[in-house]
Amino acid sequence: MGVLYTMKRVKPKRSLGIAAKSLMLRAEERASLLVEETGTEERLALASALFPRDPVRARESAERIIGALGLPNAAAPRKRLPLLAAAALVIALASSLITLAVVDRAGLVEVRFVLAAADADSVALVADFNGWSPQGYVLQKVGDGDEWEIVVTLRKGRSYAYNFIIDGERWVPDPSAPALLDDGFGGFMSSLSL
Amino acid sequence: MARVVRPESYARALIAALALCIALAPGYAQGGPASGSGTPMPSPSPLNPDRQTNPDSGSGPGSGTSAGAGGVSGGSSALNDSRQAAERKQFLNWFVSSQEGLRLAAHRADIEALAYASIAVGVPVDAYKLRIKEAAAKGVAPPVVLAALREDARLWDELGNALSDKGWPPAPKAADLYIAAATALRNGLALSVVLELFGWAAPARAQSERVGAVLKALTLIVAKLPMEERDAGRLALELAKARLAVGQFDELAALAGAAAGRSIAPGEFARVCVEVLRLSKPLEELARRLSL
Repeated sequence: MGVLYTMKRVKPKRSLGIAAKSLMLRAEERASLLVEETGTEERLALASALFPRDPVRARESAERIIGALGLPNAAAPRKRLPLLAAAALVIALASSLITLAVVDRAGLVEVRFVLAAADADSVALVADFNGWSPQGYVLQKVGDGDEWEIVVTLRKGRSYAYNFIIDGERWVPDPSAPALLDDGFGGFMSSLSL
Repeated sequence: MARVVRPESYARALIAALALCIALAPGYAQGGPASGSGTPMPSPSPLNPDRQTNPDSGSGPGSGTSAGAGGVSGGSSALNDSRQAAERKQFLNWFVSSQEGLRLAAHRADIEALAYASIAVGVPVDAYKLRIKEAAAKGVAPPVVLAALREDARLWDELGNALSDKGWPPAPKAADLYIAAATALRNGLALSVVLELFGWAAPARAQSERVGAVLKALTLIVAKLPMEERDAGRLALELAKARLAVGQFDELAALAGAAAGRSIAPGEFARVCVEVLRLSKPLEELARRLSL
């Protein structure tokens, strides 16, 4: 009990860490001294006296210590539910903003690819971003006109090469692209910078 | 025609982020691993072109299994040898097991020889795979593919030698950059210009995707305004360093076309363009200065 009493007398303010450490050291010293001076049964009795098991007493002791040290009382979370909810909301918003920043940094844009092909039965988009595979990149005809289109989400900050395939066999570059590039295989491809 | 529709809206991103928070919350509360993939935009394939283009495991750029030589800096020769052996094995496995490789079976020895020589000088072997896949998708005849790969290999090996031990470009993106460089060289950009750009980009740890875009933009510009290598080199460096967004590179190429239409000297275009880029002025300023 002497240890607890000593704790009560401490006035932790600015030097909270040092005071707490000092108390712990003193408690350890006191306990070890008692253990050295006494037998096993006595030790247990002393330990029980030093660290009461009774929940009510334990709680009282804890509150005394917490009060003396000016520590936040973590044993009463219900009283702080609104505060916790607010903190959770702040964290959620902060993480959302971070995610938003990441998404924005990734820089995604939707790009509409359009080809005018009046006589085509089908048009597909093939590019370096889809492994030059038309699967999943079939253009839809716009109304009754001769235009075909597809919207693809791509990352900004780089260039892409692409072609259209008409009726599954005719590879054509984009006629409205600023320039054509020789693909090295005897054909041409269009370039798009995002 | 390709037109940017709109950037991903902030509202959608915010909703996705909140949904992600909610989805992850129970995982943490239960003390278990977070449920879900955690990636903000997992499914649409164009967002992750590396995976899309490389369905075979560990074969594509971005797979992380292939240490493109651009990404190797220093290190012991033993490590280098083991990396090369791993790349050779990986390429061979892919070549003999993929549809794209099988259609080139008649030229396997030649293509292997090209690829292995390139690996030895640090060229990422994924560059070969991507070109072979492109050729297969386009239905290019095997002898034409071999001839094209020979030309690519010649260019890649030059670049590989120039970039050896530079630690750049990063391995996952090295293949794309090599392909962009070969496209630029094939379309008329001088090797000295590419090497000058790489000479700056490697120590500066420049974004390889931007460097690739610069090469393509410069190729388009030079195609319209054939300029001296010195001017092209200066323009390439300024374009790489400038704040100008990659999305405006096509606009810049269009201005070069307009300048050619007005018979503006290529050197003059390059000089004014460098000035405008250095001052971080918009392209409207370039058009104004050149009266386009």
